[in-house]
Amino acid sequence: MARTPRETEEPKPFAYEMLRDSGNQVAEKYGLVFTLPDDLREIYLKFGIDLARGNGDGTWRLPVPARFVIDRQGSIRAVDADPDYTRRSEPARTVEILEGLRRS
Amino acid sequence: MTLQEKLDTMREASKTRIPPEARAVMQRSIDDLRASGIMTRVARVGQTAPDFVLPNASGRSVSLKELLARGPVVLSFYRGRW
Repeated sequence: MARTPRETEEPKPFAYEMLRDSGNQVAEKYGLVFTLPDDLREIYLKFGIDLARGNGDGTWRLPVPARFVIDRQGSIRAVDADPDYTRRSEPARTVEILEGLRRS
Repeated sequence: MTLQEKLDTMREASKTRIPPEARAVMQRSIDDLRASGIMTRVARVGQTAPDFVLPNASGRSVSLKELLARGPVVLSFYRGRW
C-alpha cells in the first residue's frame, strides 16, 4: 500500500508549540505565579505529587491557569485566568476571539 | 460538550476519591489565592505582551516575537501532569 506524503515526513507530535517555562520565569512576567501553602503541599505529597521535584527548582510555585490572545502587534487582546484551577478557558471562545481579530 | 462541562464532571468524580478534609484544604487555598489580590497583577488587555524565549518540545528556542511574525498568538499557561 502506498504511503501518503504525510507518513513519510518527520513525525510532528503537536500542531502548536509546547514550551517549557523553567522556574516559572515567563509566568512571573505575566503576573501568574503563586506559592502553594504548607497544608496543601502535605496533601499533594500524600497524593504522590512532589511539585518541588517536578518543577526541578525546589519551589512549590505554580502559575494560575491562564489564556492570553495576543495580536500581531504584540498587544494583549483577551485574558482569561481563574485562581480556581478547575475552571479553564473555553476553546470555542478563543476561536471566536481569533475570528474577530481576523475580521478587524 | 464544552470543556467546562467535562471539567465539572471530573470535579464531581474526584469527590469520591479525595477525602473531605483534603478537599476543604484545596478549596480554602483557592479562596485564599483569589483573596490575595493576584488577579490585579495579571497582565491585562491593552498591554504589550511581555516577550520571552523558551525551549519547545524539541529543545529549540522559540520567541514570542517569532511566533507573532506568523500571526496572532494564543498563549496558554497550564498546570497538571500528563
